[in-house]
Amino acid sequence: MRRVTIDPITRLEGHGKIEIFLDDRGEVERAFFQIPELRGFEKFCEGRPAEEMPRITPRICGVCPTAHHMASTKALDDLYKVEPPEAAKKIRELMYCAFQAEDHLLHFFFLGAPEFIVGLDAPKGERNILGVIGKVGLEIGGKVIEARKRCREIITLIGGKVVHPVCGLPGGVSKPLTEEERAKIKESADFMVEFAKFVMELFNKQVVQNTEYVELIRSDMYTHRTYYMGLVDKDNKVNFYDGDIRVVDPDGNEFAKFSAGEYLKYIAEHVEPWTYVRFAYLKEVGWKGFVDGKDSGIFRVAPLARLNAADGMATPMAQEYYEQMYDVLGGKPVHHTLAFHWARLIEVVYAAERMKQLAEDPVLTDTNVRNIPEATPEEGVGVVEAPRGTLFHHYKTDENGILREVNLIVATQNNAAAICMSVEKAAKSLIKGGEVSDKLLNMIEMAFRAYDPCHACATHTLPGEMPLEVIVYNSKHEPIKVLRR
Amino acid sequence: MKTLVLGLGNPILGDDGIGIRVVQELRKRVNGVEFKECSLAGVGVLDEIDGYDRVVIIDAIKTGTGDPGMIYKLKLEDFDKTCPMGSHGCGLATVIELGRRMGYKVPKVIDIYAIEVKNNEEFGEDLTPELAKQLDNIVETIAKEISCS
Repeated sequence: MRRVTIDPITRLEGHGKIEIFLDDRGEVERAFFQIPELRGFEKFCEGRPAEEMPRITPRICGVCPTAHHMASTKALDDLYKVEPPEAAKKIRELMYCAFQAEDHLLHFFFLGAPEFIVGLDAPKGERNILGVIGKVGLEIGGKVIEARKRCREIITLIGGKVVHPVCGLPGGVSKPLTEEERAKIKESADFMVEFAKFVMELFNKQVVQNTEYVELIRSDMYTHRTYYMGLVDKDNKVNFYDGDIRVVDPDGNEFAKFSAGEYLKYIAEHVEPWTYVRFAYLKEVGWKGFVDGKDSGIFRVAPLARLNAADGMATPMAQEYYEQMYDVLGGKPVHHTLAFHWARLIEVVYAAERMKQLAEDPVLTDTNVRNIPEATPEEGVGVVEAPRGTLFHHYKTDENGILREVNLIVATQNNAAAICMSVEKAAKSLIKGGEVSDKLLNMIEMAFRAYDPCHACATHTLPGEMPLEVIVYNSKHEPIKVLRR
Repeated sequence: MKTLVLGLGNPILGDDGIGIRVVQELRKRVNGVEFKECSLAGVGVLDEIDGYDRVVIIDAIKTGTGDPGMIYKLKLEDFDKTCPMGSHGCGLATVIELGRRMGYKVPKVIDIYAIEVKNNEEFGEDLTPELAKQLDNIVETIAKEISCS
C-alpha cells in the first residue's frame, strides 16, 4: 500500500470547471460551466420491473433521495392509473414537507449564511458553517441540528428509512399512521413553525435590513429576466407535492399551465457539444442560445421560480413573508438570482406550516392508505418540486410492467442554461480589459450557489466537496489565469 | 475501544460502490468492530459516527493518477476546511469540527481509506474488471490495518 498525502482540491478529477474565453480586447466572449455528469441511468433501469423504481431512483443522489422516491411513486400511480386514498396523499405530502424543510434549512446555514451572515469580505476559512455558528452562537447551531433531527425523525417514521425511504407504493403508502405517531409529528411541526419564523427574522435582521446586501441582491450582475416554472395547487399557490405545472413569462403573466403527463408538449432539451448536460427550454418559445428575455425559451426552477410562478403561498405566515419579499424587491416577478436564498427561507416557513396543517388533519390516521392497482401498465409520469426545482420521472413499460423506456428531467437540468448565463454574466462584470479580479472565484460561486446545482451524485465524503477550477483563456485560447478551490 | 467501520458510496454507480463492497467482505473477516454501509455525505455522516471511539471510513476516490485499487490512507488533516459550494453541505473536516462543537460524541480516532477507482460515472452494479481484480487485496490490506492499529 502506498501512503501518500494528496491534495484533494488540485488532484481530483470530476471537478466542476468554469472556462472563460476572452476576446482581443480582453473582454469576456464566452464562459462555460461544466459539472460532472453521470451516464447510463436510463439503460440501467430498462428491463427491470417498474415497481422497483421508488427504491432504485433515490440512489441517483444522496442529497435528494426523498424527491426521487416521491416522483417515482407518483409516476407509478400514473402508470397503473390508480389514485391513492386521501390519507395516503397526505402522509406522502407530510413526509415531503419535512424533507423540503430540512434540505432548505441545511442549504441556508451551510451555503447561504456563510456569505450573508459571516460576511462577503470575511476570510475564506471563516465562510463556512463553523463561521456561521461563531457569529450566531452555539445555541442557534444547536437548534439547526435539532430541526434537522426532528425532520429526519418524521421522514424515518413515515418513510421507514431516512436516507432511502421505502414507503411509497403505487396507489398509496405501505402503512398508516397511529395517533401516537401523529402526536409526535405534531410536536415537531410546532417546533419547526417557531424555528422557521426565527430563521426568517434572522434573515430580515442580517440581510433585509442591510442595504449593502439588498443592493447586491438587486445588482445587475446577478439579474436575469427569464420564464419561471413551478407546481401550483388549484388556487395557484405553491405546492411541493402535487398540482399542475405553471409557467409565467418574464413579465409575470401566465404563459402555460399543464399536467405532468403533458410535459413533453412544453419542454424540450438542447444539446451543446461541450457538455453532457442537456439544457431544458420552453418548446414554444424555442432555444435562442444562452440569452434571457421573453424571446428566449430559457426558464428557471427552484425556490424563487416557484414563488414567481405562483400567485402566493397557501399558509398565512409564509404568505406574509412572500408579500414582504416582493415589496422590498419591487414587485413580481423577481429576477434577482441571489433572491433564491430569500425564497428558500419563505418555503421553509411554508413547509413547516403545511406540516402542522397536515399533522392536525383528522384524515391523517385513517387506516385506508392504499388502493390496489388493477390497470395494465403502459406509461406514467410523476412530478414533484424537489428542493432544487421541478423533477420529472417518465416511465414506459410492457404489459407486465417491465420498463422499456425511462426519462428523467432533474432540477439542475431545468436550471442548467440559466446557471451558465449567470456564470457568464458574473464573469463579464468582473473581467475588464483582460484584468481578472481576485474576487472572481467567490463572486462567480455566489452566482451558482444560489441555485445549489446538484452535481453528479453526492454519496461521498471524499473529497468532501466538489473542487472547482476557473480557467481564463486569452483570444489565442492560451490559459492566462487559473483559480482553484 | 468502540470501533465503527463505515463504507460509503453508491452501490449502483459502478466503482463508486467500492467502499460498500469492501465493508461487505470485511464483515466476514474482522471481529470486534461494528460495520455500516451507507450512501450519504456531509452532515449525514455525523449521525452515523456519533458515539464511537474510532471510525474507519472506506470510500472511493478518483485522483486519475493512480491505478485502480490503489489505497490511500488519509487523515482528517488532509482535508481542507474550505468554504462549501455544493449540495454536499460541507467537507469531512468541517463536519467533524461541527460535530465536536455541537456536542456530538465524535470519534477521537478517524482513519480514512480512499480507494482509487476507474469508472464512477456510469450506472451499473458491477465493479470494472481492473478494480474487481484488486478487491481481495484491498480487503486483506484494510483488514490487517484495522486489526493492527
